[in-house]
Amino acid sequence: MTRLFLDFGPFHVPWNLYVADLATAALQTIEFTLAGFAGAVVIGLVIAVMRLAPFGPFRIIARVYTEIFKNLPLVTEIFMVYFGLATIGLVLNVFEAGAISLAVFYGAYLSEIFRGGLQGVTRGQREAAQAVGFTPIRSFALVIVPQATRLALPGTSTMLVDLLKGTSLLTFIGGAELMNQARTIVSETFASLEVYVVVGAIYLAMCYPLSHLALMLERHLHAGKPLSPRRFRILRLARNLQSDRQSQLAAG
Amino acid sequence: MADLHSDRIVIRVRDLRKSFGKHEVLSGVSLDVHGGEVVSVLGRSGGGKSTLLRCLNLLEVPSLGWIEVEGESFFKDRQLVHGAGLVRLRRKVGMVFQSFNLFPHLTAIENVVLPLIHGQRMEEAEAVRTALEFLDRVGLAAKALDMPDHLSGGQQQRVAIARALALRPVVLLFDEPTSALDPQSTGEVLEVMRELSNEGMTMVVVTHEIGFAREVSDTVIFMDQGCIVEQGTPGAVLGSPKQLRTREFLRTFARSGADSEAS
Repeated sequence: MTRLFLDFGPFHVPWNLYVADLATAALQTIEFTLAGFAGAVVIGLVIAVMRLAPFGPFRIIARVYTEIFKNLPLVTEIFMVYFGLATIGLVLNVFEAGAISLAVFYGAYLSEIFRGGLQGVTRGQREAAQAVGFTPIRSFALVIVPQATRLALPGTSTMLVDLLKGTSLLTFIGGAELMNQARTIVSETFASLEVYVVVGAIYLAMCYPLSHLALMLERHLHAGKPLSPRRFRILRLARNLQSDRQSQLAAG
Repeated sequence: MADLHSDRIVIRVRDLRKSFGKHEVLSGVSLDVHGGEVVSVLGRSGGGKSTLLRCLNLLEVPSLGWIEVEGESFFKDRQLVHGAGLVRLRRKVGMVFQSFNLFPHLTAIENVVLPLIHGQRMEEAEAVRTALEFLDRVGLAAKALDMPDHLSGGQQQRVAIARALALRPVVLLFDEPTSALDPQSTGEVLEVMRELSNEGMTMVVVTHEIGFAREVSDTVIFMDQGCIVEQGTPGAVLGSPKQLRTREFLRTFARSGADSEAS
């Protein structure tokens, strides 16, 4: 131990040898996160809409889904998908099994957050959308979803960060992500405290900007700033017309 | 102002009934609204005024009766138009709500623009131009790019009026448009409505503003317990009401001081 310490200054681990591996592992973590979250958002939306559907059986299916997958440990779900499904002939590779487990698990949580968002849009808003002659689909797309998004954003971004951290559990099925890499380094250097502190710092460095970004997006949306090209166009047109009008008023 | 309105019947309602469970809120209301006519609907809360109004654009589905707008039947004996027909009705019959119901995630002008683009299939540039014109009509062109939560209640309600008006409805329904407003905002909104009536807009207004009803309407309706109790010119209904219930209502109103002109 003393020798190692002397060789690498304050560090026990020759990090220069592991930088490339860690970068690859971090990339894998990001890939799991993106795939898992994309799937979770789709599942969450479908389940949330089903949960609010007038058709009873849809509501029951959605409710059962949410309650099952929300109340099982993530690790259990990962093992079921990777090892369990293989026993009935559905063999998935680690990436597929990992992404699916994350999507299924976080989809259940997101469906609850999305449901809260959708229900948070007041009846008055739905009525106003009907009263100006929007079709039900337009009402949903133009009035309900944008407002539900604003309501659901804080919870959703929390879940995204949680999902990123949740990818660490995929080390149990050998997903070559950060945590798995950390365990490899520990097995080679035995410097578990240092390795896990450093890897923890990498997780923090990935998660914190994500939370911060979500907060900025929240403020952006709240201020009504446009995100879609169409809103940009409409607002630019309006601004130009408005200033034309003002200069006309000033001149005349 | 009664001479302004035409003989053209814009809305024809016959024996309209609406129940919520066992509770009957509308017990057979019949009503004609003529082109250019301003109809004020007065009455106690729970008397069925708002429900009547909300039935007229089928936000509330009646239990029984018949609603015709510009000669087209939209509801007849439990037969409700669906889909495209319903959307067509909403484009003919505009509505202004007590709580404004502007879309809070959009600027004032977008509130007016989006229904034009999606309802009227107007192209963007024209929709923006039209929307700004209508905001100008309610005196808010300068606020076009503000978010609703940056506007006062009166300004929000005026944007809501512009939003409804820009769709060029054949009739505008107002559901207690000033009940959520302070006196100054109330004045602003009533002023806009007065101008609209001068321009010949057909309007049905559920209101507690008896002064407004007296000055602006051609017809005043007093409703109680789901029925039209009394109907006539403002002079007749407010000046010399025939029915006991109308007299009582007007007397309590004057006593409560909710409207200084209602003495």
